[in-house]
Formats: sequence, structure tokens, C-alpha cells
Amino acid sequence: MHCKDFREISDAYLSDELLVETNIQVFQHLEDCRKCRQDFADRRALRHQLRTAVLSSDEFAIDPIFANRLELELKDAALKNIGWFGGLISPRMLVPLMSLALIVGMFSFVLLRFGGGNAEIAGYQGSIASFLAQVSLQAVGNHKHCAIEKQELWEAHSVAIDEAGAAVAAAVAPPVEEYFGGNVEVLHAHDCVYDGKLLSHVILKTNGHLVSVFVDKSGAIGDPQGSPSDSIVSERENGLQVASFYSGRSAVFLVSDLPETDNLNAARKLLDALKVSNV
Amino acid sequence: MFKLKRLDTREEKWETFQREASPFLKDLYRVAMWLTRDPAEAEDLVQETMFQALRSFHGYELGTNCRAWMMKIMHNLNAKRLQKMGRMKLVDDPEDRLAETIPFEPSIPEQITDEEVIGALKRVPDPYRAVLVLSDVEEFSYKEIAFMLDVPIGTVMSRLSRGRKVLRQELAEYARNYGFGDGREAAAS
Repeated sequence: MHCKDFREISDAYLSDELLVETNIQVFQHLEDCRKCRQDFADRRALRHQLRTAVLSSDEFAIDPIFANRLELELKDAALKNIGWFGGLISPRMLVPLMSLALIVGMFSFVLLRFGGGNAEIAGYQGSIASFLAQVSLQAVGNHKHCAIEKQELWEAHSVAIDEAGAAVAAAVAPPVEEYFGGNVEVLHAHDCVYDGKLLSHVILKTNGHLVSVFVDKSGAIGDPQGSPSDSIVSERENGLQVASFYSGRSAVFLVSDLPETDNLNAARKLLDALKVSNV
Repeated sequence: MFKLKRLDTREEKWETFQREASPFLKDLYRVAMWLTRDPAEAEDLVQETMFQALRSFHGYELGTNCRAWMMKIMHNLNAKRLQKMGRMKLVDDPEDRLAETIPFEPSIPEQITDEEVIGALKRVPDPYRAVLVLSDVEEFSYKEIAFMLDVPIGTVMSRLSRGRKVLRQELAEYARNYGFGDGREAAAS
């Protein structure tokens, strides 16, 4: 190593960011080069002095009165539960928040079943319910772009349909509405990517129940039953009713807390409608 | 398989937050002082950061780097604060070119006091000083700083290198102005 080479990496060496092999080369160079050794010693001494100067300076020390007051305010906020979710947990917000939790749970369930989660569940030692609960927590983090970062939409409890989700919502809502006699409200619709799979997610509300419809737009999930047909698989998992079918173009999942008959019949209406649509 | 842990009661959540986040209050304030240069503004920024961290704590993965996570929150909040004040500076500005014209490896004066070092650090331009403080005072790694400032590691390296160079330049100028020599001159004499 030459002096020029050392100068190029001396900052990284000072920060202890070099690979072991490079460190060895630096040691050897510093042993042989008095000038670089002295220069580096000066720089290391300055770095050390910079740190100790700032850490010991009163100018940069927090006022203990402020620190105590802040700690008390934080504790007060945390224990009154106004800190954890930014004041969202008020009676006004209970319904949207419960809706959000249910939707995330539904979404997680679909991803678990058809999104490559099987390998993970095989190695899991706990119950299926606790596994789903953990996956839901994970999904909250990973799904933040459409579930968490748009919380203000839920706060307002307004209909918010992005352009991508609008087409799917227009195809999905009418057949479900037909089954429930017109008592269906579209709460939210969007496209979201999870684990490389593009899903359209339409959230409907009927008679106090939430119904989530997921349409695999990427084709990554494929036919959940192995062959395109009119059959619908109906299952109950973790308190949710799930109906899955293949529309001929996409895998579709209808997830809700409805009774099995209602969930299945709504899915049947949906299948009939989607077979002749572009979804 | 999953690193996320369930947080149960409010008391348990608070205890977890207190255990994970509160020890870094002093560090946050120190960095906030460098960001704002004003005690009242620094306290506001720390307070905002702590409440934001409390609100977002469900998204924090227990057992990971809470200090870096909180510093990132603070830098994001500070960026918003500066944007509101219209004081957001870009790195590609005359100061950047100034740093590149700094004489080759300014030498470090001997017998400088802590106050002189802090004074010189205050004169280092913002983008370089931020990285310099995070690296050399707070001892974060390149990777952690890149995460906090949301910039590539290469940017962290170049800002740190320039920041250190500007700091040495400031100290060398100070030594010249007050009429004492630098270490190399002393060594050569």
C-alpha cells in the first residue's frame, strides 16, 4: 500500500469501516510510513477530542427538568392510550379501527394461504390462531402503504378509491350488492403489492359486516384449485369465512365475518359476474 | 421466524417503550442541538420525536437498533421543520465546491481546547456537520447514518470526508489567526 492509497481509505479506517484484510494492509503501511502514522494519529486524536468535547459540554446536555417533564407527559399519553395511535382510539374511531384490523387480518389470511406462507406455517410450533395473529402484525408493517399510511382516509371514514382499484370495485360491488339487496357500501378500494404479488383490494360493508374482496392482478397466485371451473372453495379460518375461486383470469378471494351461507352465496354471485367481465 | 413480539397492556407497552427508547433522550437532545442550534427548538424537536416514536412504536421491531430508529424519526421531523422554514439546503451548492477547494489535508494544530473544537464544528456547513456529528460524536456506522438520513452510503462517506477536512481547515485557520503553529510545523522544527 502507498501513501496515496492510504489517504483514500483513511476516513473509512478512522471510522473502523474497513474489511479485516484491508485493515492488515493499513497496519503494515502505518508501520513503514512515519508521515502517515503521525497524520493518522493526529486525526484519531482530533476525533476523540471532538467526541469528548461535545459529550462533556453543558451546552449539549439536556435540561433534567425538561427530561422529567417529557417523561411524565409521555407516560401520561401512553397510559391514557392517546400516544400509541395518535388519538385515533376515541369512540368516534372505534368502528374504522376495528374495520382496519379486520381488513388487515383478512388480507394476511389470503397472503398466508396463497402468498407463499405455507412453508413458514409448516415450521411453526404454535397454534394456527397465534400464527395468524403474528402474520397480521407483520402485515401491518409490510402493508403500511395502503393500510397504515392512509389512516387519515379511515379517520374521515370516507370512500377513497384510487384509479387502479376503481375498475375492480366497479366489477365487484354490483354482484355483491345484488345478493344483499342493495345494502352494500364501498368503503375503500386500491391496488397494493405484497410479496411481489399485485392485488386489487376492495372493501365493502353490508349490514354491519365487512367484506374484503381480493383479486390477484399479477397472476402470480394462479388457480387456487388447480383447474378453472365454477367451483368455489369455502373454508372458515381464524373466525373468518373465506371463499376462493378462479374467475378464468384471476384468483379471487372473498373474506368476511358473515355466516358461511352468505359468504358463499355472495362469492357465487361474484363468480358469475366476473366470468363475463374483464376482471 | 418472526421477530415481532406482541405488546399487551398499556402498562407493558409503556414499560417496553421506556426501557427501549428513554435511555436515548440525552443523545437525541445532543443531536437536536446540532440540528437546531437553539435550546428551545431542540427541546421542541426532541419532544416531537419522542411522541412520534411513541405513536409509531408498534412499527418498531424489538431488539433492533432503537437509537438509530429514533434518530431517523428526528431527522425526518427536522427535515420537515426546515422545509416549513424554507431553510432546507442541498448538498450540491457553493459550499460543496468550497469543500473541494480546501487545501490538501489541512494539518491539525496542537493544544487546541475543547471549546475551540466545538467552535470549529459549528462552522462546518450543515450537511457535512450532520454526518460528522453522527459518525464521530455519536459513533453511528455508515450504514446506520445512511438509514437515518435516507441517503446512499457513498454520500455518507463523501460528506464525512469533506466534513472532517473542513473541520481541520477551520482549526488550522483558527491557529493561524491566533498565531500558533500546527502540529506538522512543530514536528518539522
